[in-house]
Amino acid sequence: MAPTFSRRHVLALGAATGLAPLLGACGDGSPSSPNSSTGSVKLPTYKPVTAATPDLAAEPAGVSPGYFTYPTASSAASQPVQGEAVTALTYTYDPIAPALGSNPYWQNLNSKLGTELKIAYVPSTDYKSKVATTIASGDLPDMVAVQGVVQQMPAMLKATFTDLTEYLSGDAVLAYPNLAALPTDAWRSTVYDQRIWGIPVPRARVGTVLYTRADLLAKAGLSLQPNSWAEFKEMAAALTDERAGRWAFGQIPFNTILEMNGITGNWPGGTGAWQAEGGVFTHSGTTPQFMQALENTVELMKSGVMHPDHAGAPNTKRNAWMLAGTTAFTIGGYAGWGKFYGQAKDVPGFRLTGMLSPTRDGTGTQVRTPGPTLSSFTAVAKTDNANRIKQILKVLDWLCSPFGSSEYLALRYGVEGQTFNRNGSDPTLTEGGRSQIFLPVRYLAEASPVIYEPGNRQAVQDQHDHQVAGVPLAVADPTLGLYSETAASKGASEQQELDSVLLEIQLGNKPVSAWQPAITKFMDRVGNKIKAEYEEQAGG
Amino acid sequence: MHSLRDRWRRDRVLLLLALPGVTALLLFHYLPLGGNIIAFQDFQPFLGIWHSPYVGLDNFEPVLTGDPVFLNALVNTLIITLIQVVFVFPLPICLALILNATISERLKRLTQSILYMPHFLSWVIVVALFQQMFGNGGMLNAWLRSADLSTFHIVGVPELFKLMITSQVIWKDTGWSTIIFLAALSRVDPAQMEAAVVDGASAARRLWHVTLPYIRPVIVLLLILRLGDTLSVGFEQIILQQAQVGAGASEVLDTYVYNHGIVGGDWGTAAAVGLIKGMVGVALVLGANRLAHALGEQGVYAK
Repeated sequence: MAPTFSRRHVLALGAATGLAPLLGACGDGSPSSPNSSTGSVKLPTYKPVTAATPDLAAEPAGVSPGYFTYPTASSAASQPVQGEAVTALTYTYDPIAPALGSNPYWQNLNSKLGTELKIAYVPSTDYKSKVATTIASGDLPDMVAVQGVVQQMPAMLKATFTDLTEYLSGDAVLAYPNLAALPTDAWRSTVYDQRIWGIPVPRARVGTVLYTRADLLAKAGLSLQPNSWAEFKEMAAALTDERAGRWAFGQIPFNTILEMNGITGNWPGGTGAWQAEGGVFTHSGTTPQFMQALENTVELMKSGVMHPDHAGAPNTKRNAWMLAGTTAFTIGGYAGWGKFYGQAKDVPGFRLTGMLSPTRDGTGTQVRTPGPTLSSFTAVAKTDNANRIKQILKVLDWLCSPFGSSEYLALRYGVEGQTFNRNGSDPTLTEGGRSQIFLPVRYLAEASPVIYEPGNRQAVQDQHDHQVAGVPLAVADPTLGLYSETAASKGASEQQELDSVLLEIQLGNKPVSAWQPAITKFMDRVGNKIKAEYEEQAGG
Repeated sequence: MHSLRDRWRRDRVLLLLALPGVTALLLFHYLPLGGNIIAFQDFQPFLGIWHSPYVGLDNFEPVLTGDPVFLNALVNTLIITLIQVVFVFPLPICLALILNATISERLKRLTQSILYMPHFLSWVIVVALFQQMFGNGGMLNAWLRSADLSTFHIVGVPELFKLMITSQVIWKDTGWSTIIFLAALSRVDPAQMEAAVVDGASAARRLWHVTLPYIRPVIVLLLILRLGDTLSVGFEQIILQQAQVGAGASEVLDTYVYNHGIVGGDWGTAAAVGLIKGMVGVALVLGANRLAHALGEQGVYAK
């Protein structure tokens, strides 16, 4: 999936992040990064809240809890917020929801909340320009979702939004119990210049998944987890039958190949490409392992296990190939896992698992690229009115109510008998409910994700298994919480040229040796400057 | 000469009718031209045009220093331009002549309708159709594969890319482009044609001496207009297929602007390249028009 952090992916984000309301793993477990940019500000104290005991525990640290059925809603943990209406600006990946007047879900939310919530929102693809023009106009709503990193981010935040450090830092956050339950790594991404600027909308740290048609692999008598590069190639060959129109992959599993060679990061895009050791930052593109991964990619391409029309095929098409069994894999963000079950309801025996990247020779430590910590963070427009700030934080706290609480039910399902009905204890949205909950409150604030697939135990188990196996392998991104002005202003353009060379090599139009001059040019133009900026922040 | 007032009185209805069009033109074509100023700025969307710093000609660096990525885009653009002017432009004229020579009015109408249709399909559909038919996993190759014959790779082969996009343009727009030529052909005076027949002129001579002179002004006019946007070689069409062959074979000036500006966030350089492209277009139109005048044609506007 396209990580939220990169500007170049703002357009492409649409499909990935928004579709699976209840999925995603989070938690405070990821290894902390050597990060002194956030060193002097005390991050909010982490104190989990649970409204219901999960069927599958949130262990080891960082794994989401799993629920087979919806818990019978417990009583409200928080009091309704009083006070005047709160306005907000955010983005959506869904269609537009009905207006307040004809939206019982929204009306119910307002009455439960005790404060009128006025949300303006635009499609995610237009969001960047909407925020830019809104900031330029100076007429800001109370809350604004800040997505991605823009140029001169620290100055922009300082000029436009309220510094929330005194309200949220350390134990101060405990006044808002649901905010205190948001994972620490997500908070890290809201810090610029040692100040906390917003409430994170947390995301699964599982990151990109190599989605695997477990039923097809089982039918071919293959293991769901190859243990080396050699086994991986054998598996791919066994899944390919050109005459029958079947191939292993619909997309080059380049990130998997990188991970097999010990490198994390998402390509194209190059997010997470920086590695750090002892305060020295290295771009993984300059390492011999990256060259090795390129060689492996070309080798895999030549072996004919790739769908012949893979190049340039859009997401939707690659997913359709996987669902139809034309290919056995597809690659996508973890947040999209749940949507496949709906799309595959006519596929007999459909079972989806996630494959981990083995090490090259089957020994040593596996690595995994973690996902972005957040989708966006919600900042509060500049004000000195402490009471108003507290009221807004209470609203956000309410929106972060945990799975199983009655607030959560109101947030995700609305009004029983009107927007949802119960199937056993599982809530099912009605036709009207489905469109009403498109109101994107979720992109202002939400609780840490849980695993819940109504009426599909196997799906919950498979996702949980993947998290249990994959999350501990995640290698922390050393740039988390660091800010490079060069990366924000000039990085994307150079990255675009780098990606274009990468594609030519992968397609076999250029030899692997074409990488060296490209990465050297990248480092000369921006890479070395970015490196110096990160090192300075991390070290100083 | 009438006074201005007389002319206003006489033409006011027409002028008022033209007002909405002129307003739209000003708002959406002339006003945005001012945005070209970001070609001389280190433009940052968050700062906007008013607050972004000026950097002189820095953004023109890839153009002035001959950056290989830019040169690649330029060369591809010129090749595609050449192909489109030399091979694609004359096709609708030939097609119009053939249609015009068709005696059966019903057959002519039917053919025209069928030929017009692809024009109304968007590029997304056209590209998808080509992909489904000729793609490596498409209809043709799936059939060849099932018959144990060797497959035929067209899509995704960089060497064939320019040929492929040219075929798509021909398939999509040749029929539509015949409309103006057919209209011009309808102006050919039947009496002259009959006279030529009586004088014993062969079909080829009738074409050369009667028909073509009638439609020559239209051909010249359209050619000049075509030259004006000749460097726009089909942004949508190419960007949709770029990932299949990579940038080496497919990057043109328009996709360069998109990839560096919108994708890469380097708005200044993208605007600079776009500006140069626009200036070349203007120069071509003016130059071609001058040439037309020199050859005694009317061109886009009279002298």
